[in-house]
Amino acid sequence: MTLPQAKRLNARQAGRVSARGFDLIAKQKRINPKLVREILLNATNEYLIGKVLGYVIEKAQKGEASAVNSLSKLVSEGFNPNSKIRGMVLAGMRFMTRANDLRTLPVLLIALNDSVTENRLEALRRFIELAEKGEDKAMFGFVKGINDPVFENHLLALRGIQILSEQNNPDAIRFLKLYKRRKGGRL
Amino acid sequence: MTLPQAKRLLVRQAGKVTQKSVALFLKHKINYRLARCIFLSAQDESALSTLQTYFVARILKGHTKDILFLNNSAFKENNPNAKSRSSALLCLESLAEKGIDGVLPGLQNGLNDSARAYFMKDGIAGYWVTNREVAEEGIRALAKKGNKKAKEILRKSEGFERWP
Repeated sequence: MTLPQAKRLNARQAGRVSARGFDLIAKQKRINPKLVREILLNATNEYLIGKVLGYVIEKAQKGEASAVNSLSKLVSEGFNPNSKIRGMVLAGMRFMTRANDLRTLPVLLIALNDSVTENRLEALRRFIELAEKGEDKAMFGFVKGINDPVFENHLLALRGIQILSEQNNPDAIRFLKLYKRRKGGRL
Repeated sequence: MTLPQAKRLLVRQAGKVTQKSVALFLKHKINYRLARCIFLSAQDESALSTLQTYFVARILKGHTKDILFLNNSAFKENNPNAKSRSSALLCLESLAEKGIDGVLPGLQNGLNDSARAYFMKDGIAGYWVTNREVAEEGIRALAKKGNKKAKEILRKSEGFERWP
């Protein structure tokens, strides 16, 4: 077999892994997080990875508990070592946060522990979407995010608390008051 | 005690740097390796404040090489001691208020530093210093003096606060 032939074969097989995996998931009654993990870690075709993730998120939107469970596992760094896929899961969760789905809250709190800056930023964006919908519990994420070592993430968390204080959230107003006092009346 | 003896002592007794060893350092011609050693291990407020005033005075006299030393000591990856990082940042802030532009890289690195350090005051009670806030104040001071880069950093951060 020549090298170009081998290359073509590899590319084709890599696509097949996720295609077969998608069929496997679609056949099952409930989504199994370990199966999803195996498929995502072995696959390289981004289109099919997106398709598998989209299916899981769609199921979670419909209210399937096992799908939400698998999302929370896929976001954690210990379970899923691929940072790109973690980012894709977080980006895909915008459909749930925009619909003010509170089941995303524990998943996003796990994502704030991520070692990749962009993923933490993505999680904070989801919290901001929850805050814009008037969800008070988004404050948990902002209080954690304000101690982020990266300056941009810190600013985004601060912006989230400002959004909540504009909606007359007493906790956010108290937090901003203390923060301003600590900084000498400046924000 | 000789200088080599003091060096060995500092390395062995990391975290127990006293005003006495700093005074010994000040007696001799400046030794950057020893200064780095003190910065890495010092937890004593008076020792750190003595070093601060020493370096600020030297830079104001015109020793520009010391700015690089302070910039490196304020960087999180070079210096794991949060307390000495904040004292280096306080130095940079006081220099920024005097209009020295070379301190901007150190202050910019300080923005990505979320650590806090507790400084004792008169041995009774103290105050918290947040490294990010010190760095922010330094950049504001530079922007007031008309530094274009500092102004741009401030503008960007304010723009980000208005997101989305």
